Amino acid sequence: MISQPKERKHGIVTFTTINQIGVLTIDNGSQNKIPQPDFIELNLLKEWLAMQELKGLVIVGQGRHFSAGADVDNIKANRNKLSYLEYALECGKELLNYIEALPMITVAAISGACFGGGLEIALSCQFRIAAENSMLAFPESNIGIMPGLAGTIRLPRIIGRRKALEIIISGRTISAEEALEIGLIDEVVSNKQHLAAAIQLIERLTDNRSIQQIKYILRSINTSIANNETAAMKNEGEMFVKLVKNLKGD
Amino acid sequence: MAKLTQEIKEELKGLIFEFFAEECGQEIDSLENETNIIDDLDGDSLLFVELIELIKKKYSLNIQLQSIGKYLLKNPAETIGQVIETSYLIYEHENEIVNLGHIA
Repeated sequence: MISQPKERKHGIVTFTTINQIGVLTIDNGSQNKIPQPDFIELNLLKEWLAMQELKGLVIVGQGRHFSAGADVDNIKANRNKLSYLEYALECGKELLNYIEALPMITVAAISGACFGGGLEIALSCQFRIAAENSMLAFPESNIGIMPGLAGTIRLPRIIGRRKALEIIISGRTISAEEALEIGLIDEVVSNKQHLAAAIQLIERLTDNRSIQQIKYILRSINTSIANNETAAMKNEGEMFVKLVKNLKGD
Repeated sequence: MAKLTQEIKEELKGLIFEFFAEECGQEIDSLENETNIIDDLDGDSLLFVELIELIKKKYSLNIQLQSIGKYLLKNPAETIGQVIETSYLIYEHENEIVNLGHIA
């Protein structure tokens, strides 16, 4: 049975849950521009995600586009306030690092434009599902800047250094088809089916798995990436022991 | 330079009308060459970007958005008719469109 979602809204985002899956929607005009790097207050996101135990989180854009990225006029207006820009980027990175390390399945459900800051958000998710009409790009190079929310770190990690370099420096637009070929996205679906497909992916991956299991698996994987192998192995062992009491069967 | 046949012209025209009808939730019969994309369809520049990607893929064109962007600065395409005319030039000239200058 599908439970009735209750929507919460703050700034440019809305949050709702569908069957223990959180859906965070970027809702800012037709292009879903990101006015500042921390597009949602981190503490508020933590609060929303803690309201109930979640199997996963989907990030999606309202309407035709995921997000056309940062509001360049805002960056231009602050071009001389370097310490402010640096602080804003730190806040944005802290938010995306938090999303990246969430102990639940995270999926960016992409359609239309997924540019710059929008792509940074999508890269912080574990999976990316894109509608056929999706266009992905880091166009920052075209206006004399570069990605500033760890896109230069996350993109090479996902698609390899050489391809990431080419994409970031050229600033070119990548179709959903090419994004799939190079491993930037995990699946291409028909237009307007991206959100449903993202929810299905989470349901498929978490089917018959306890939330504790999902949390521990993700924490272990995240730890292995963040820490050295010895610490990650110790951590994995501790969580394994905690899960053994839930062992299925005789 | 690719040859722009009457058949390709008709195909591009049909594709563009279908695209705007679908993306803007309009009946295709309600659209005309004079329909303004921003004022009448509540569209935006990204709609155009999406359309270019579609055309690029369909005809395997070698065209970068920056090239079209530079061309459009001199030759804005505000109506469906103007978008169709621009698509003909994109098909014919691909990235060389940037060298066409102002077209009256």
